[in-house]
Amino acid sequence: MSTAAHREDAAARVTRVEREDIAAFVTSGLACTGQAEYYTERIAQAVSIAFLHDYVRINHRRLYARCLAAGLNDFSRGMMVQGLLAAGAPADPAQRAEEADLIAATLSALPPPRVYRLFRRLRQARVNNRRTKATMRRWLTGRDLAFDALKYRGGLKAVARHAHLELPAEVGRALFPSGPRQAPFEHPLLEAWRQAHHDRRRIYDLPMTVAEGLAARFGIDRKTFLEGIESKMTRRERERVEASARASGARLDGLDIGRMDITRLVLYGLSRPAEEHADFRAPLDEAAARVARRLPRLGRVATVVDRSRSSRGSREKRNRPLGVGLAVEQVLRAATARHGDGYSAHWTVSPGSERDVPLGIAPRGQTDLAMPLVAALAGEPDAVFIISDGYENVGPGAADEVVRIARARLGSTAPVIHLNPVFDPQTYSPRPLGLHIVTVGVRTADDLPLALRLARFVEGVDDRADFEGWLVARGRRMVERWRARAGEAPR
Amino acid sequence: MNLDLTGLKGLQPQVAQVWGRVRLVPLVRAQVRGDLRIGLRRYADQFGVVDVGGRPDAPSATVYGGYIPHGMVVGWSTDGAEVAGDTVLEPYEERHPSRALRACGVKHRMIKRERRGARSRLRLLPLHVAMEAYLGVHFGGPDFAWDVYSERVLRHGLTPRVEWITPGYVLPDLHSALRLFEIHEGQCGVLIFVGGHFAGATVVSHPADYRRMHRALIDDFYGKMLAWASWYAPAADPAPVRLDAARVGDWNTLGVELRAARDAWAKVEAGFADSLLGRPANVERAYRMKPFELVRFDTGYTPGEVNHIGEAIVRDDGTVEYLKTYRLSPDQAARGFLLKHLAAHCWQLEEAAAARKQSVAQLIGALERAELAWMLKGHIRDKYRT
Repeated sequence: MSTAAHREDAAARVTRVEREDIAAFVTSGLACTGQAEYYTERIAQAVSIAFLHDYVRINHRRLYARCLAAGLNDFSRGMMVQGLLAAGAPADPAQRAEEADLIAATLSALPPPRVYRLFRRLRQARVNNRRTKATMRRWLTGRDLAFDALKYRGGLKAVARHAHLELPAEVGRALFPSGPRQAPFEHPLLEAWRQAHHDRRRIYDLPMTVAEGLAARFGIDRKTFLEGIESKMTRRERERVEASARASGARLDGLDIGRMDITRLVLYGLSRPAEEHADFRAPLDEAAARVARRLPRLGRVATVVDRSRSSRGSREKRNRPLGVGLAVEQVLRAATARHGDGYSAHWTVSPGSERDVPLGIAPRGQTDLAMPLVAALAGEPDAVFIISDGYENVGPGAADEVVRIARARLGSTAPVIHLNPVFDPQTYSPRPLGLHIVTVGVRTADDLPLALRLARFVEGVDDRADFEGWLVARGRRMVERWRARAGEAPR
Repeated sequence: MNLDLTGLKGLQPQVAQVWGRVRLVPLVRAQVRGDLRIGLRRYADQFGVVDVGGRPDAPSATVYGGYIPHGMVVGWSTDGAEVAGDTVLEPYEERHPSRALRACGVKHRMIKRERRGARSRLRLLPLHVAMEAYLGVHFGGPDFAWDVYSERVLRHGLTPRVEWITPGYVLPDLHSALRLFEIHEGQCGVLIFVGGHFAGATVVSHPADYRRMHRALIDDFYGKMLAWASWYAPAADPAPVRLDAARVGDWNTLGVELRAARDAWAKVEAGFADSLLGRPANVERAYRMKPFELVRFDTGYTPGEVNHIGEAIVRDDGTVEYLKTYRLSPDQAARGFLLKHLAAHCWQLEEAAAARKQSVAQLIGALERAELAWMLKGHIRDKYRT
């Protein structure tokens, strides 16, 4: 082999390996939440994903930072911000500015509890460089500190200590009291909080999580407490107390299931008894249609949904893989119906009847993807979607083999896209099914448009330059939106 | 008595699920009749004592003690009518042989008919039915009082006869393998392999019963050597499926090819259980309950081969409705073999040794290795040792 050809070959290999690294990272960033899964424990997930982040950050720093705009899940974005801050600012001023904007925009989009948790982790890791302190201050300028001093007391306290914050006097006094007795506050919320320590009527003026602890101290029963605090609940808190409200007999306004996203709705529906399932029909259709409107026209679609026992997930992610599968199935059904294209759904173990889909489906049976895949491909669709955790256990590699032979012998050209809601620590990615099937991570059905876009890169339709171009444009839009919201002037 | 385990009539092996060193081959029943149901009864204590001799009111001297974490309850109908699943779920109060023994949870007999009103069920202690038969091999000691045998064995027999077993929860990968296993639709049984060694088979009659029984597999006991295999044998990944592209002409044949490849592979995997499923067994009837029969069996105690003991409920047409087997470890097989061999030669050492083309010293060496040399008088052992 000549030297030139050899060099060419080596360069191609580097490009391929780079693309695989980045693809593994991006698809993992969609799926992995660091929680236990059916097949793997929490610790295995944590160790593996931490390594993957370190590896990509060290080898592709600029791209890693730009991935903050890729629409990855909250857990991944939190980890990325932590890693970037811990690694110190890059030397190149342009890159430094771009990263700082992306970090600030990301933090403003993350839920506050997650940001506080991230800051506490930074404190634990003793990361206290100038950029970290500045980032913390910048994020806190947009917050209502009196509110945070109550609701995220531990978090704000940790940040204040760590970043040497100058807090407003009353907030500082609330966070770091000098004695057991507090003088009255002028801030109405802080004053309510002070009074709530001895006056049980005032607890209903506080955020729910703060009030909950005080209610326990006063021995207020659950029913009275929930009815009193209802107006202060956030939407997620309202969802969270649903079961305990039913158990205690509290009369609260019904859950607003019309506003839930499709995956949450499916998961909630699965937890309800069969008699109530009919009430979910219309909200499910609406929620599916909302996502479907964001999808491009896909042509005729066939789906293969894994409803095997492993789709019950773990104690931490009860029914998550199944819920994602059912939600994606509903969305694709709605998306094809919108354009009047053909659609067919196939299951690892077929449901009793069409009426059972989606909420009558319980996770059971083995993972046989190949048989339903044959049926799906036989309808000659324009695209096939498999939603599965990727653990084939009726002979591994069978699904891939089916696709290979369908392409080689039966003239099938449909792309087969595997959407995987589970991160596999052993392969540092959502577990792939084989060479002929594109695997993309997914955490909710709302990720579907994004997953389709990423599939193009994973598959190799887009090269790294296309992908980075897309990321940069997305990042720019994200930063602009954040600037407009926060009222910050462009630098 | 006939018991035909070859190919396990009515049960179709499926492709194995592998976790670490444990390989589980599911067995799916094509036709479920539902006239025999098996339930599980957990005992408060892992250690149990069974009175295997006397009547409920008069305890005997023969007692079987061991690791008995659960029992099984069998309900059946004689006319082929379906038995409701909850017949075998409802707990019965076990009657103990005597008031004095009630305190330590003594059970009466391995297999016991329980009656309440019109319904009648059978309670049996899984694997112990077979184990009892194995421990009972020439339990009474030599039938001829040759003077080479010690006073003790001539007077009291082999008591106490002790064997070591390994509870499932001691095997490292088994717990995860069972927990993560995805039970097939219609699955009624499983073949368990640990580190490439066939550990045993479990079959029940109804898929719903299997679901309950599956979780109890961790509480069953396994041979001593499987503990070794579960730590040290190499773990093998499952082989990927390969299809022959040339034989696929249309979508239909693709499905057919796939099914054929899977069936073939499942057959190969089930074939690794040939030491049990491909061999005639010595069968003994333990209980008759028309149209079923509870039997216990062994595949012989042949040195150098894989030997199993087990128990089964067989329908009159030969269908296996219940099966549980235990793989003897090599030393256990050797003990069974030597006892039977000596008995076959009227307990005469010279004759028994000659039949194996051995010297008496070699036979005594074998007895020593099998931890049976205590049957002989000390000076006899010394004489042949030098």
